[in-house]
Amino acid sequence: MTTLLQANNLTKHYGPTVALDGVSFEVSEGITGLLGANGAGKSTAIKLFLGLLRPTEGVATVLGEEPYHNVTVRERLGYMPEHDCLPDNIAGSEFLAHMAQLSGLPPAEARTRAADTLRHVGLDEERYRPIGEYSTGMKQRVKLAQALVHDPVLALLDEPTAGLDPAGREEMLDLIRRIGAEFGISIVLSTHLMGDVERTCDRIVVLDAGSLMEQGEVSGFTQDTHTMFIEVDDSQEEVLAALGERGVAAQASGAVIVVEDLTDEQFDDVRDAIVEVGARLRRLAPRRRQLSDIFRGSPQ
Amino acid sequence: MTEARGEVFDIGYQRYAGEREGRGRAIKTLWHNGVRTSLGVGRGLFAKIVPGLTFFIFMVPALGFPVLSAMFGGSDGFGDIIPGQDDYYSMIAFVLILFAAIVAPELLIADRRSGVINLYLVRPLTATDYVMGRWLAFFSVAFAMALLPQLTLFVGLTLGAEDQAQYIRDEWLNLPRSVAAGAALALFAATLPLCVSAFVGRRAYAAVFVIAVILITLTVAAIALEQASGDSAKWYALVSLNDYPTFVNDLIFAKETADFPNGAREYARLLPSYAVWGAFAASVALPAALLWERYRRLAL
Repeated sequence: MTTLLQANNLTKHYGPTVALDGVSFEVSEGITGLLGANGAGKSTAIKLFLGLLRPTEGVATVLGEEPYHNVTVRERLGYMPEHDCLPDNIAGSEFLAHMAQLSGLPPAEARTRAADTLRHVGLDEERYRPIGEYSTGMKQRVKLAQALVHDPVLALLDEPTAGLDPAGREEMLDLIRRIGAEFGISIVLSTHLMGDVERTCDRIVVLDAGSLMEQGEVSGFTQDTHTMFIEVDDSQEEVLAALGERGVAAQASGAVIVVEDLTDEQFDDVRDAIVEVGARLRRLAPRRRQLSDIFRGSPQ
Repeated sequence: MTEARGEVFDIGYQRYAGEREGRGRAIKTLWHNGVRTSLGVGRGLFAKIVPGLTFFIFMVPALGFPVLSAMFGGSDGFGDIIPGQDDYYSMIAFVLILFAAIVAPELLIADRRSGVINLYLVRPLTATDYVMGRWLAFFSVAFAMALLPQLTLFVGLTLGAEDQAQYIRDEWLNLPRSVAAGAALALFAATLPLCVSAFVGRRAYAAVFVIAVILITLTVAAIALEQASGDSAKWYALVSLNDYPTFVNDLIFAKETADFPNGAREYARLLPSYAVWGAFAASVALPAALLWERYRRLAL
């Protein structure tokens, strides 16, 4: 799989403040979540990859180039900022065509791609209206569209669901998933919302206080754990006792029996205990790891 | 009879395989957009009024003087008081600077206020490219607005002359002089307002600041020249910032010094040419350097 972004001992200081501290990671094709709390260094990392900042130490490489020294690489990069960045008095189609030309596309191609991109993000009907008349959700779509209009290899999206209502958020995440899967544009999704990453991303890079905390496949972070949840009707006490007799440590947590540190051999003991009691089983499931578990035990 | 059936195909997302023209296209796009913005093209009626009215004001003497010259040029003494090409820029300089003070800030301040600058500077553009594109756009507009009426004036005076071929032989040097002096005027008119706009958050503040600087220096110079006496009095002419393009115009057109100088323009003709050129160069270079430095350090 092709490496698109590479941070190699990437460090950025703002005076005495260390925003990124010797971070090294790679981003390859697909959708990658850049996860971290506010102040974790996500925005600094994105600015370094866009070439807007010069690293204090280390190297930020995008598509094999150092963007701070070679801005031409940006014609194959898209960027959707978190904050407002749209003019009010210009129509969506005109704005997008302008942005496409700024990314190096000739005028005729820019106009065609502007119309196509607005159609893909669901703004076909609204393209001749001034952006100032758009709703928040529509403006987010225009921001996304301008990041895609020049058909980048990689788009960096900074908090794309910020300010959206639940329905708008779902639509935006679906759209991002589609862009990655159908359009073939790789995406780095910077967010502090773990739900967005779980819903959308293939891989994840977690930053915390300027340092790399974890990186890998999202499925690897959400795999099954050695904790089992058992939910039965009426006979919870009896099941707990039967488990105890078999040497399986379990405890009640509300209506659920939680068995921790379950070994493969003890699965049969759990089954036998439930059968012995004759309990009516409602749920028997391993607990899946949550992305939020990453931050448990972190300095924050 | 066959039944015609239409079918709509969704061809899905199409990758862009055409040419990418990089920084050159990006700068050209910024320039083109800046010219349109300055002239109010693609914007409301009000945005067109200021450039339209300014150009109308410039064209009145350009069309009127040849008529007056043709009608009264032969009259004793009257022909001498009809201004010629060497005086044209001094007549329009203040209005052009006023136009620049009102219109030029739109090119920079609107981008920062709306946040579009965040999208511009992640395109294949450096901050220097951005400022250069904007500056070139307004310089082009100011130069065209100054030069076109001047050329019209030349054509009009030629057509009104008794012997047109002889007039061209005698006055052809006015053409390169007009280009050079027009460029100097446009340089001055474009640079100072754009420099102020780089530091001010609202168009109106920038316009008021530029106009105030011009009027204050104009007034101070007039008072100083009124009060001053002796050989050193001529140096007070350099206080009148607004007149710098006119001082350069007079050098380019080789205007004669007056026996009894009156006003900053005539006093400036007594100055050594290096002092006038130096002051003019500083009045352009200093704001240009501040403008460049401001955008080079702009934090997004």
